[in-house]
Amino acid sequence: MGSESPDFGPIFYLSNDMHALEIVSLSKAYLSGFLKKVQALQEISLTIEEDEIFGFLGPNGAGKTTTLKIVTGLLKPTYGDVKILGAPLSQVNIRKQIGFLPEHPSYYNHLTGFEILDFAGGLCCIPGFERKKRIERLFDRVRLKEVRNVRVSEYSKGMIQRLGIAQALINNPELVILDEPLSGLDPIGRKELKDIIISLKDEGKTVFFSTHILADVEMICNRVGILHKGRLLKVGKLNDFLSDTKRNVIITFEFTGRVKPTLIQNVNPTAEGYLNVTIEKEKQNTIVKSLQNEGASIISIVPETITLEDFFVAEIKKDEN
Amino acid sequence: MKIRTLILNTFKEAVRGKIFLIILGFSIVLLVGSKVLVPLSLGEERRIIMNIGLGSISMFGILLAILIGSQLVYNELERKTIYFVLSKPVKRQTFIFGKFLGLLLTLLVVILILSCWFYFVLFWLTRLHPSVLLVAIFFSFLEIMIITGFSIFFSTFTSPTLSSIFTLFFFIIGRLAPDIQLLASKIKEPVSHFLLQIVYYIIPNLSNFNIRGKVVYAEPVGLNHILYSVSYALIYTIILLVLSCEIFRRKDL
Repeated sequence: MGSESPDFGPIFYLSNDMHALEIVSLSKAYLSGFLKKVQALQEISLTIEEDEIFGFLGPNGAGKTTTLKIVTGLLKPTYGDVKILGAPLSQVNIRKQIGFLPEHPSYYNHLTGFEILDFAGGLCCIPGFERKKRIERLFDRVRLKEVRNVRVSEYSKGMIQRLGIAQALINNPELVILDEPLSGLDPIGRKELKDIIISLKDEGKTVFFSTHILADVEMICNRVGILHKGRLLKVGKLNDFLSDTKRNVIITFEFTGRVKPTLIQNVNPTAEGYLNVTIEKEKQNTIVKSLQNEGASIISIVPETITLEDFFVAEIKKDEN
Repeated sequence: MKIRTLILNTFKEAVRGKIFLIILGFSIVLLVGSKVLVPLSLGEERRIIMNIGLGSISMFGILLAILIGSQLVYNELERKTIYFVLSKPVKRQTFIFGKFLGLLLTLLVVILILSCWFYFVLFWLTRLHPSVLLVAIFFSFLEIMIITGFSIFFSTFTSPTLSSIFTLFFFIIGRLAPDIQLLASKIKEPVSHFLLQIVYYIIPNLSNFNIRGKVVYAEPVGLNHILYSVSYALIYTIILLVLSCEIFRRKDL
């Protein structure tokens, strides 16, 4: 009846060039209204290696959730191919190797935290005894032991998110997919969740997570991909992106007179009462000499630090232009 | 294991929901109401109680099937719990069958509770407990099974309100199936005759499952009738579930 293949039990895919996730030319179009077609994803190709934390960045509506939903089998792609650990997405059993935390997760309000994990374990065909052991371990890990028998309708946002992580890990998956796991959490909740994500990598799991909170990505990701309007703008290592842009220096100086406007522009006052200017590294010597000739004392010369946010905004603007 | 997990969850959801308790309480009150009607029955108390009991079991079963069934799939989509379930190694058709069987289990338990209560009231008021009434209750269950199939089917693509209305429509028209056939036989105009015949063959003939009059008047129910009705109910329900699965399989979540 369906295109999904039968449930044949455990799957083992052995291949030298196997990736944790392989997305090839993925496109998704929606019908908006009767005739208008919206292209949510356009020819996205992406490979995520095993044992890495990959951050999927993009502004709201960029297509991050659409991509993750296709990868987890919730949406059907219009075109393209997705392979998880070498297996096609149509193999339902491959989802035994995936743990998924949806954006704004919602669980059955009539169930307790324990029952939610028991239900999730049942769907993954984990035998009862083993299931109970895993549930206990997971409750310890996400610090929900005290509320394990409380109905989830009484859980706070942070607790729901932690329960979401626990249900995603119940099947001990190879690939953990998290959709905006840190949004809406307080600083402590974010720190706890980040620690869990980092610990997943330490256990040899691959983490693929979407976010628009860039500060978190800088701290935990090995590689990132930037998505905008359904197109993948950049994929690469965070350090490579940021070092590419470290071509400017910031010169801070003290000057009582006027700086010649023809010599340098965009001089900004600092909080300490100095002036600073950002210039290309190649012009550093010329500018410094000119400033000194004008009677300025140089306080410091430091390379400009580009944050991921700066880089991200620049890429998005470049794309829009 | 997956389908058992889904069945039990659907059962828990229904049992822990208020709608279940409200209707269960109301139906019990209604059965007790038959005690009030007995003094007005002029020597027909046995048949009055049987008719009220069997009728209310059927009606409340149908009502529950429509009210819970029409929300089952829709609520999963609306509350987004579906993302949690279908990102696990669960096929969409397993999900639909699990939901259906979970609701059917709920209805079976409700009918068993109502039947026990009905037998208790009947024995209390008339000192009778005829086992033939169980056949009528079983037939009501078959009818409820088809209605559950309809409510799940509509729930895969429309809102609970519309799903309830559509299911109720099929229930009413299904009960009127013999009248539609009669009307078709009386109409000589070929197009109308043909259309009515088509309608008759598409809609469920729920009159097959109404044997309450027969058992109350102690008329025999043939084995052929039982086998035919069971087969009819199973085939009709399976067709509805297959259609539901097909619609749900194509759905973007």
